[in-house]
Amino acid sequence: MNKKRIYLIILALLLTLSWVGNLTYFYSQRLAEPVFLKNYIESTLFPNQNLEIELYYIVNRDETPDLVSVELPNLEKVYVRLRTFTFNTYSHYVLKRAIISIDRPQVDDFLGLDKISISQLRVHFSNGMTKVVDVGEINYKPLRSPNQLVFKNTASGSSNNHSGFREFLVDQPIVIKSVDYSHKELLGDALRVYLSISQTPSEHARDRNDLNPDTREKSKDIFDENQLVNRTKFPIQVQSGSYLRISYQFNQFNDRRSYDYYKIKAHIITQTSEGQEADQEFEIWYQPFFEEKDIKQVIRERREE
Amino acid sequence: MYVQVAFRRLFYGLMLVLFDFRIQSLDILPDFIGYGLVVSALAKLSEIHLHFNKARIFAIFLLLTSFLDLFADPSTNMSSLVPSDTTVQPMIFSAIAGIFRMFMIYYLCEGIRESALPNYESLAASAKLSKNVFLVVNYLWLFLMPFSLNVSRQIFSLEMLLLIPVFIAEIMLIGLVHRAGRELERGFESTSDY
Repeated sequence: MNKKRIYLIILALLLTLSWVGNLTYFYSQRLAEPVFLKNYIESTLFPNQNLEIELYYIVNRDETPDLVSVELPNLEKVYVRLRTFTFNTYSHYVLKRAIISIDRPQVDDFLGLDKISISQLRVHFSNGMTKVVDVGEINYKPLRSPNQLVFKNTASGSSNNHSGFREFLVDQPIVIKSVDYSHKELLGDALRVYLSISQTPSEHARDRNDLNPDTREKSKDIFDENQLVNRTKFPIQVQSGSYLRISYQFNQFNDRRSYDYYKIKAHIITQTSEGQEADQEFEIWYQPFFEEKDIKQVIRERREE
Repeated sequence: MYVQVAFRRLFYGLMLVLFDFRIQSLDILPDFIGYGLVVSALAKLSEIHLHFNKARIFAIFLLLTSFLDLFADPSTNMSSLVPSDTTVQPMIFSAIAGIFRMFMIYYLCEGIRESALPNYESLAASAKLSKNVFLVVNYLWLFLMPFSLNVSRQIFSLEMLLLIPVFIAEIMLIGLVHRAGRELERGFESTSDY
């Protein structure tokens, strides 16, 4: 066999390898149907307002099959509207945001309930398939009569490193009976919630742009391990004129929880000297940022499930 | 005279095939018109060298595939930025057409080269160069094409860099056909004078 023929065979083999390899890999990455990410939401249901729930899912890059409509399996008679938006694009996939809306008259029907919970959706896909999918745990509680405010909000902030804080001025003597938040068991040590009381505003109230826990000098007053609410003994007496700071920091999960969305609430339960109880809410949220490898990891885990 | 007429027809045919004349997305001069001219020109040139007949066989295949292309669903455009199930089929189709085109150009250039020898060595050298450049560039294009399914678009935009050599190879080829028409015609005229 002459040299020219050998070169031609090698080139033909390389070309075949390129095509077979790429096509095989491409088809191995295809999703039969969109993959929903877990969403843990605790929020309030307001009268005379539509309810909008934001969920995230992964779909093939060409968005086929995509979502056509959704239903709530535990709320069969409720009509749900669906809108979807592209959130981020990857080599094989698109991360999309689905907004599920329930109209005002239907929301008003829920106001007499303790709460509405959604953990599954019945999803109709564009390929004609229908599937019930897990979406995490979403709880909406109807708004009860508003609490008498015992705090004045003086500063708040959040950072893209999954941390945030809120600072209040206490304008009457109170007792903090407890500080609690949902999904404690699920989150474990991944979420740290801190509570501190001082007579002066924190550094962050003056410079709210720096929430990086690594810059410890500035952050020590709101990310102090001694002020973790899980280690705090309640009740706590707070004098009028004090500054109350609640802050949170999500640590590195290093497991599948880091791919979930959290929008939950911490509740500061207080009592005034007249014996009136109030629940001051504080929003805690975590929005994962997905790189190419993270999206692939999520899909790999879902396939293993 | 027929040699020059055939090469002129080949020249226009290749112009239509290699360059798309479009108004917005509408191809105003579809490829099958170009391949029709190429097939007809190569049929005439088969009389002067067997390689042109071989090139004609591949041109007939390309003429048929360009007919099929007319009925393709425009939504399955291979050049779509989003790789999908629906882009794979046109991509494979396009690769097969690309291989046929490489064979057609190979035999066309070989036909010109061998017809030019021994009198027109410079033309023969140009034919060899045009053939090699066209084959190398188109091989790379075919090799890289399936990567567009898996590599992120930002990285794959490097593929766009290959458009320049592809364009150069096509210009060289068209220039070669134009020149071959002129020079080989002279050669055949002088042969017929004897």
